[in-house]
Amino acid sequence: MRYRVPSKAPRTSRRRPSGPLFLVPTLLALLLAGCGTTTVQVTGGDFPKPIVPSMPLTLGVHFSEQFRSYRLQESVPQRGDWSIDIGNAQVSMLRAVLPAMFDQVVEVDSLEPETLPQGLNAILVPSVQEMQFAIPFQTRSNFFEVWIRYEMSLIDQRGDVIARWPVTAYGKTRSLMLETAEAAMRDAAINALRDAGAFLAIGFPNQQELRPWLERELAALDFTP
Amino acid sequence: MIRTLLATLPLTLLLAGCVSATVEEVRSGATGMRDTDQVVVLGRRHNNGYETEPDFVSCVGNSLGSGRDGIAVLPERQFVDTLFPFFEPRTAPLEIRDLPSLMANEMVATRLQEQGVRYLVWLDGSTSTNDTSGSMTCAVSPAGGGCFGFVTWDRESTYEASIWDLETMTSVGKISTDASGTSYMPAVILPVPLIARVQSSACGGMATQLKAFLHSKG
Repeated sequence: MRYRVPSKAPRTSRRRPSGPLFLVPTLLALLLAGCGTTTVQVTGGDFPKPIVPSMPLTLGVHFSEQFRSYRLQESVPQRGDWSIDIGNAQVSMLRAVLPAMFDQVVEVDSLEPETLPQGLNAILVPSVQEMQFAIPFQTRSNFFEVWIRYEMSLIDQRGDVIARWPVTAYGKTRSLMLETAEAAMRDAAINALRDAGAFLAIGFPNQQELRPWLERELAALDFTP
Repeated sequence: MIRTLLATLPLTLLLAGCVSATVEEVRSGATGMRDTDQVVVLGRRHNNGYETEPDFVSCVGNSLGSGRDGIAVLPERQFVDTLFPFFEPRTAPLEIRDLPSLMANEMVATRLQEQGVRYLVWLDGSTSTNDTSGSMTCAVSPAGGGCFGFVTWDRESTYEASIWDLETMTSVGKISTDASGTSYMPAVILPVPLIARVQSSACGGMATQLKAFLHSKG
């Protein structure tokens, strides 16, 4: 490698880039900034149907726009920005789990009492209260981890709240040598959604907050779970 | 052809690090396989600090199913999906005493019967890198590049398999395997990895012992 001695000759002129050349550093900076975001799209799909007894009830379910398009955006020091989109996947998970738990499930677009179809025993409104994640760099382990805390609200045809209860979910996946961070985080998020589905399917009939409503509705049908 | 094989054999042996492995078995009940019986190999994933690696679980499952005395093995993912949500990390039975209450669930019992599953093999453990020493420096220049140095690391695999008989709802035995080995990577311009295949050795030992254990009438 050659080392070039700076010339002592006076500089005659120092031209500044003008016109489109000025844009080059700006574009380069924008391009490099774009590299700092890790985008994880958790696609919906293959959630299994739970094997739980179906309750002879008709449940409405409302997926709000916020729920359908839920995305966590967070910055990890020294590891750039992360954007994890679980909106589609969590809707898919509930579309797989709820029809196994109830005889009939009807998706409703609005919660306005006058627009709700007749004959619903209740309407379930899921919402994400909090989502967190961790990458191996933060925990000094080999795992990508995802935590989600949902709040499930059950409302009646008039829009009054019957019960609210939390559903917590956790998923992790091992960091593999040839796997991308995006793929590992996607697997961790899917494991967390499976965990939420399992908790919901097994826990629903035993949820303390739901007991009075469930006993009333099932007694009216002369059904013993 | 034979000459080529003879020439490459010492090189292959040289390039593989050494592994020592031990397998131990404790039997507490009778076993035996009928033609219709299936086995499921499942990994424990409820611990915070580690999880049984999916590739180790599939390695043991594939090894059990191979060979003339191969056993019919149901893939882990297929089993867990079929029995959803009862074999997720948070809901799976941890102890044999949890099994009767799970089997009391008619839907679970029917699904297991449909699948023909007789034995559940729970694998618990992991492979870790314990000690790394040495150093290596790599440099690149317009004239070329290269590495110089020597790195060595120890890996250890510790796994235990608990075998549950779903017909008798008892634990029929445990098999444990420990394997350890040291890998080396000397580098003079080019790094040459001499990898000790510790996990693979643990998998082979575990699968061979499991196969004999399940076939044996005990």
